[in-house]
Amino acid sequence: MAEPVPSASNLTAEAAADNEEEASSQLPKNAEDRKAAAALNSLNANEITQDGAGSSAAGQPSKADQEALGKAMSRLEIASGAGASQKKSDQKKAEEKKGVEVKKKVKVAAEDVNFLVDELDLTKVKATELLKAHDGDAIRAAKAYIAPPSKA
Amino acid sequence: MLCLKAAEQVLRKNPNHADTQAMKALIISNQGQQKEAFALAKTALNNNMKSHVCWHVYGLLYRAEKNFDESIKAYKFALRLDPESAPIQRDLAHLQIQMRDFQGYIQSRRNMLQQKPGFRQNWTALAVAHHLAGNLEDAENVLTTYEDTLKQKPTRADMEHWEAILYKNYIIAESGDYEKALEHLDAVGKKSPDVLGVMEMRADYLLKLGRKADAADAYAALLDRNPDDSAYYDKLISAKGFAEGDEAAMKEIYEIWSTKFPRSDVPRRRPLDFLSGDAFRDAADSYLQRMLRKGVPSTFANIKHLYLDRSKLEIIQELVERYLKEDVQPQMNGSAESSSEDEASRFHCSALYFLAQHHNFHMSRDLSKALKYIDEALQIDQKSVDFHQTKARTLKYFGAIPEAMEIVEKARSLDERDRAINTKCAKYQLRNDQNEKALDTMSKFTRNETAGGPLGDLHDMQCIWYLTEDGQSYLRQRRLGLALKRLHAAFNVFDIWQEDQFDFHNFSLRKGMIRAYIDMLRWEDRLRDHPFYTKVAVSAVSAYILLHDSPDLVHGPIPNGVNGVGQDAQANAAERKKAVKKAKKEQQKLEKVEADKKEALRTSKSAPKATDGEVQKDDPDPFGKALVETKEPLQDAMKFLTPLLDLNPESIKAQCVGFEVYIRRRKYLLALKCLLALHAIDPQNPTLHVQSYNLSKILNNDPNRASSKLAQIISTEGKTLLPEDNKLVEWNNNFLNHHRSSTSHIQAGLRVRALIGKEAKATNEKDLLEALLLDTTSMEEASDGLELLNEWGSPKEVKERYRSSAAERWSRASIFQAKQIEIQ
Repeated sequence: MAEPVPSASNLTAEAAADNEEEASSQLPKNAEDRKAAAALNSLNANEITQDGAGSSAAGQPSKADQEALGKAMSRLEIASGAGASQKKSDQKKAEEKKGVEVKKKVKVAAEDVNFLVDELDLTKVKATELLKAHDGDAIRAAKAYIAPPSKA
Repeated sequence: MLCLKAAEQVLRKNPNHADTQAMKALIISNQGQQKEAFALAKTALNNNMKSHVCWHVYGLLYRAEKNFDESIKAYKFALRLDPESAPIQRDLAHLQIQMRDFQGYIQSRRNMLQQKPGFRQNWTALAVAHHLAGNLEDAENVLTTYEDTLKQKPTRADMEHWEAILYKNYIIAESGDYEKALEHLDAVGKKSPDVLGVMEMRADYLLKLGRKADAADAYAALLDRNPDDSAYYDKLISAKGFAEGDEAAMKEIYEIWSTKFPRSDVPRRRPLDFLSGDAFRDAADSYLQRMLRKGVPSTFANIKHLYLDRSKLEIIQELVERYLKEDVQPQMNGSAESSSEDEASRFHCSALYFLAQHHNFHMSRDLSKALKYIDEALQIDQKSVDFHQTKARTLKYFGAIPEAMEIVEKARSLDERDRAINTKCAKYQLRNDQNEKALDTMSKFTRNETAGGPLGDLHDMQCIWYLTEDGQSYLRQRRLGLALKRLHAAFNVFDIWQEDQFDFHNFSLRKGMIRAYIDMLRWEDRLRDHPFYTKVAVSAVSAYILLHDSPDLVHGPIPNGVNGVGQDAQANAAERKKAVKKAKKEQQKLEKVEADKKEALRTSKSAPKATDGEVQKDDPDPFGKALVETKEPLQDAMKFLTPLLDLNPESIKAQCVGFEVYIRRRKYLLALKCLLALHAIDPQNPTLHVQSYNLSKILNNDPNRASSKLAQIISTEGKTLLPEDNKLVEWNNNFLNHHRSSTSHIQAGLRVRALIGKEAKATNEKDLLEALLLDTTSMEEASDGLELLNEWGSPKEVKERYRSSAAERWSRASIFQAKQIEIQ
């Protein structure tokens, strides 16, 4: 299963170097089980040394150094990575909540949406958005839409 | 080929193996057989709905078709089946950023980071995702988190690291916290290999923070590196905080660098921008003498922006005229004596050349003087390409298009290796509708062995100006198929530029060039606000409008006035049929000629294509028949119009053609939107007057079609523009009275008067002729008037009278020549 997919991306004219990177990560690693931290660490350390050798873009100074640092680094990274993403997802949830609050529940009549779609060449989604932004008032929405930019 | 064979081998043994089928679909899609590929991919999906390979391929096929929404859906489905697949995840991420789906991109990038936290580029990419989505703080956090993990100091040669550091600084600055950005920059900037970048950022922050003395020092240091960047001077001067209009102090600044760098142009020229009166005269005198003595051809182009100030224009003209009359002693007498004679004649020549350009320029135009000066210059130096080119330009402004073409052709023959003049020559030939000649000229600098010959190479090289001019030329000739063909080709170039981003989502991150990447993404977002796009789109939309109004043009060019729209349509019907028949015949003839040419080409050199490796397809439709035979020209025009109105709402032409499309599509609100926008740009625009009338007439005549909602919106929003129902005549007369001295406004008023009532025709024609005689009438306006007469279907004598009086006034203009009219 691992074989055909890289060849697919090959056809999308990606650089060859990139494929190497991707191929090296085909082994089922991180998601398999997060609790086995030690095993994971050693795997990641391996991966980093491979990368250091494989991609010239990184331009690492010395491989030996890198290898020695590898284990410690990956531990740090995973901790911070998980922490960061945890925080991120929390933030995102908060944002979503805010978004819901901002978007007051405006009832929109299908007839009005169709009117805007017809007259203003809009997609249904956009027409609905426009209507909601103007409390569902089709006439006000249309007026706002056609007003010249300097006024708006 | 090999893969295809292998795939087929597997399928022979196992005919319903879905993954292999999908792979085969991908291969044949890359060979250009899209339809078959899609069919096969669908069978593959039917065979195995749960295969992520099939879904991935399905997404890739959609992406090749540029159906990005469907492609994203397919990738997402593939990813659901195989959440760990890096290639699918990556393809999805690239597509999301291409579509500017920032939230989705953040999600994808976060997944990718979790899978492979060992790569710096994955961290940076997540920061980019946050940055573009507008979460500057998150972006900064991600970068800092990664930096904290670094135990070893990166070396100086680690470009990726230093770029990422500066990128972080860029984000901090964008959040508006310049204090913090400056602090950060001072802490990390010293080691960055991008010295100039750091210096510029630092100077910018200092200035924004109001630390003027430091900012002045920073800009002075920058000027020592590059004394030719005028923005540095502006900022240095604003950092110095001189009093408004303190010319002497500002001049001093420029003098510092003009003595430090005597060969630099900017510090000498810039003071001309703000000096005035006698100080300006002195400065301009020394600048012009210096440049003209050297014979710098771009002197005029360097200073023409000063002409916005009328007094400067006059001073400059006076100065250069004096150079011609008197023998002005050179200021520096260090030059060797043997060359002084040479120098004097060069000086004289340059002054003549300068004055010719001066009188060509639209703010100081006096074409007969320009012609006199350039002829004098040509007498001294008959071999100068520049002089000939300027003469050609003068003739072009005279309206003598064919003559201009001949002169520029001569200029080209003087230096056949000069690509610039070759290009100019082709352009003048296109302006004279000599399309084949122009292509021949261009072919001197193209790779002619490309498939499709020189024209094919011009397409490959994305030569937008040529495609546009060629298209516009065909539009003038009313050969809409070819016009649309070229304009679509130019449009596609913009599409390709947008598509080109794809390569960089991956490449820039791998190389670590993030700041440039962000700039590029932002540039791509506004790609089509380029003036070239406006040109292409306006022409293409006009072509579609023309096609909608006279569908007979499908068959080929039919001269205006015989398309049966005139008053006596009955009598014209027969004539019209004849014209259509004739046009069809000519079109067939043309096609045959083209086919013969191709045949001849094939027989003459049959072998070379095989060596190329890939099979180059012939263009199956060289005349754009498929484009012109559209059933819905107005719908097709939207492809051009929508980005045009979105990104160039300030363009008058864009709003005008937008109105014409919308009113024909009966989208009255959008038509009104164009009118309102036009009104905001130029409330007195003559086209606005005509279009307002058209809209109100349609609405008045059609109370049923206009639903009550629509009528309500239009009547309140359009109140300022539209005339009241029963006062049309008065409204129009007011307009005419108000603009008695402007020809284009009079023409607009007359056009409306003709639309209101046919009986006034004779008066209209008389008034139009009178407007022609106004002193302010321009050549373009005169030719518009002629078109208006055609539109009204005026009798021949009237047209002839109009033409001859125009020809008297613009005796050189080719459009008013008797021959030209007869062809019409």
